[in-house]
Amino acid sequence: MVSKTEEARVAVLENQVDNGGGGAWEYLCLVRKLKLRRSDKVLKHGLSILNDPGKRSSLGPEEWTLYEQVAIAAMDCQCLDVAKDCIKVLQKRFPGSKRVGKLEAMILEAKGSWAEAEKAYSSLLEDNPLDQVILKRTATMAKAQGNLSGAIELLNKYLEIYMADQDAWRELGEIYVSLQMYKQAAFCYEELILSQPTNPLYHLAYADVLYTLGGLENLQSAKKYYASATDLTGGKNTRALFGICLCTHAIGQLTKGRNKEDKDSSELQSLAATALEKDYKRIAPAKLSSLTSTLKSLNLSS
Amino acid sequence: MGPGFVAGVLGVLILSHAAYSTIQYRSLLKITEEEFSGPPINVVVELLLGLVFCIWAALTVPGQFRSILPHSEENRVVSLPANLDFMIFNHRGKAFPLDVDLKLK
Amino acid sequence: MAEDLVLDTAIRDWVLIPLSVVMVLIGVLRYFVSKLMRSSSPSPDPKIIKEGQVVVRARNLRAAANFIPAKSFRARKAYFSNEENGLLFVPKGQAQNPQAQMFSDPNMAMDMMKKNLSMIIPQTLTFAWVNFFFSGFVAAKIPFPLTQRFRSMLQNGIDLSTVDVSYVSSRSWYFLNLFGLRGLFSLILGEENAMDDTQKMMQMGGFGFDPSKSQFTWRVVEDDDWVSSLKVVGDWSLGAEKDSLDIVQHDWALPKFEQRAEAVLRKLVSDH
Repeated sequence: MVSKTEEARVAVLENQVDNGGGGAWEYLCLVRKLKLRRSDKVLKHGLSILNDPGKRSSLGPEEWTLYEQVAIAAMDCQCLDVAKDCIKVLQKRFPGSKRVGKLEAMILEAKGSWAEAEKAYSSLLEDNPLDQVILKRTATMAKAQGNLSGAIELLNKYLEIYMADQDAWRELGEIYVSLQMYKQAAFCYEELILSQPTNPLYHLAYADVLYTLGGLENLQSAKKYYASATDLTGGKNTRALFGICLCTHAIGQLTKGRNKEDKDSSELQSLAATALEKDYKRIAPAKLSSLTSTLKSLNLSS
Repeated sequence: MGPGFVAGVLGVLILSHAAYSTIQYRSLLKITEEEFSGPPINVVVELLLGLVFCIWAALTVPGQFRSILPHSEENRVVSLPANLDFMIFNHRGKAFPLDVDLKLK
Repeated sequence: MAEDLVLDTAIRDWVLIPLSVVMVLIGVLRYFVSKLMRSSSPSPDPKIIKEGQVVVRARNLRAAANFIPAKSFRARKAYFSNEENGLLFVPKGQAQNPQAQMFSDPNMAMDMMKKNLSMIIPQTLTFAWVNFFFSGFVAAKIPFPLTQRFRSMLQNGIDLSTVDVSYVSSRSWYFLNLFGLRGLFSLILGEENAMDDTQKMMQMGGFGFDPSKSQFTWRVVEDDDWVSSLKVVGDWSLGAEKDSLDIVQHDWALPKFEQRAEAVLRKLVSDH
């Protein structure tokens, strides 16, 4: 989870580092801690530290972590030579380490030589068939090759054992959504909500899936989850506000002519619409007209 | 080194003085062979004063209080971390290699 | 005080300092011996890892049950605790007690023995040595007064009740060193190496299984303690988790959130 303060801190540090100010190491640590994917910046600033012997040796044992971070970032940027050099350094320091072995397999993956990478991973798995990182990588590799059903199968096998791994549930949910298997995706998001009930983004994703599934019951649940996302974000999440409006509209369409009594029971949607209008007025006044016309088409504009 | 820190130092000093006077008082009682029932009233006042100072220092010096509410402005979750364990390299970044040549020396 | 004892400087030179030095050296030696004897970490049993994960997931379900719809909750509850093949269901006969389990696995018993040997043997030897050579006299004086309760701690081996408590007997000095050198070891041998057995016991209490711990680290020798601690947790916590999951009443919290969201939005809209 990346909170507002952390986001602001990253932005400040990034600005500072990009403009030649110090704090590169601090920035890299923060990126690592928050698990952000800023590969180009990590590569640039990480290399600037690694190429400076004074700075590098002042890191102490953290130096090797930085080598790993830079190697992965380099793979992400397709700078395979840099990645290879980093891995060579690590290999010299930690001969026979599995973590380096994983990096070597990853570079094969980045190169696109899938068969070799697969071989490397399976030889790593021979030593320890339950290695979490390697198992995840094999699933990822299937996904990278476009073999989504294979990735799902591998992930399911992985989750059979490591069933408390949130990241894997999230990945599985995303794959399911991309394959339009919404029922399965809903299960994954329920699992995520269970593990972190106060994270509004999981509520939001679950609501999205429910809304897409459709049907009166699902729409009503979706509206509730959009409402909880709104509550947990203090009404600052535009997507949740739109979700409330759309759900109300869809429910209205479905129950048209039937029971009218619970339609007027809450004024949530009109409040959401007003909040949206207010946000647009403040942040993007130019787009206000299209918002009002949209809301009008949803019979919500006041 | 704000006023809170000074208050903390003062509070600790007062507390140690109270402790010292209590020890003195007890040795006095030992000489006069009386029972110790409690510290004298001025030591108690001193103790309370020291306590107040210490509490004040402890509440102000270490840092600002942060909100524990999930929807408070600074705790609000704005994004999820990139799922780095499942990072794939087969993406469109491949078509746009970085133009700067970086090298590990 | 009038009745100050005068301690011979030879006691300092030949008892106090040698004792401390010997204790430190033994600690270092023990660390290296246990490092040598540690068997390479065996690959953990999938069943055990799975049990740990099941417990974590069931606990999540119990804690956050009200955040998912009733249907989903019922499905999960049945999945975890049905009487045929639920994940938390342990058949009566299979629930072995942890000790039997421990001895059924010779590898683990071996590990335990190695650990115990490297702990107990040097301790008994040094204690015998201290007892034989240095028993029954005062070796040091601490510079502040203490109450009578500390007598048993500081004057072990001296049966005099009139000596001031601030005098430390040689045997007590041994014990003080034994327990007090932990911080020094963590300085000499690095943070995690000074982990003593009391801490290990505490870890066994803190059960569950942290997925982040299983990520491999740069340490060349892997610490396999978490595996053994999981073994002890095992079946017992599965049953306990099942019992507590059985009594969870599902009460969907989401309808309440609509009202809360309304309140939040109303406040937001009416502000400025």
